[in-house]
Amino acid sequence: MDELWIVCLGLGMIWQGLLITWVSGLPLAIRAPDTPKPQAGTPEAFGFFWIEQYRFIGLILALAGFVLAMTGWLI
Amino acid sequence: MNEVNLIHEIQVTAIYAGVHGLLAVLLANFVLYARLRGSKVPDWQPEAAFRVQANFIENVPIALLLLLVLELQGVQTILLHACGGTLFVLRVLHAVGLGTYQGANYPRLIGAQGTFVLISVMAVSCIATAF
Repeated sequence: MDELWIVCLGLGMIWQGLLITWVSGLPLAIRAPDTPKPQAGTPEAFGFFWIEQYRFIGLILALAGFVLAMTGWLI
Repeated sequence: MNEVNLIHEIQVTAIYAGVHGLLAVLLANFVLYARLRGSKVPDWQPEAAFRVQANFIENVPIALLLLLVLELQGVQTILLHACGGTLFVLRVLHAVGLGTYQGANYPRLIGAQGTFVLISVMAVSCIATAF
């Protein structure tokens, strides 16, 4: 029964992780590392950081969810 | 033991509550999508996305509550699935109609008015099962 909850936790993370990726795309650091970055300390730089952070959260949620779901399924 | 029995008694509601929970998260993300892609989406879409989510939150919890009451009252499983499945289809229609087409359109009309009719029918059924 405990394994079921691990699978559920993983699938829930995958769902939200994929939705974040749909909303914001993959991190630019992976997709387009040569993208020019705004000057540090400016509001644009903060916005850039914030969205990039959001993209990483989505990617990590999806990947970690996949690992958890597979772990729960294989246990 | 009672707890196990209760889980089996609300099996249909559990399915549709779960499905609508996932749809709620999707619609919440659609609001973010429309806002973040401001330059790539039509001007009207962020507001429409917000209204899709707001209308979902206004109507679906009461519909699921009615579904739960009907299930606990022992209504036939096939009728419960008909209500839950219809609710899902109607909410998707409303989301597609309001979220992707500007102005009045049939998916939006059917989704919104269909949900009101369904809630009304389920509400009357709830009252009827009390007697």
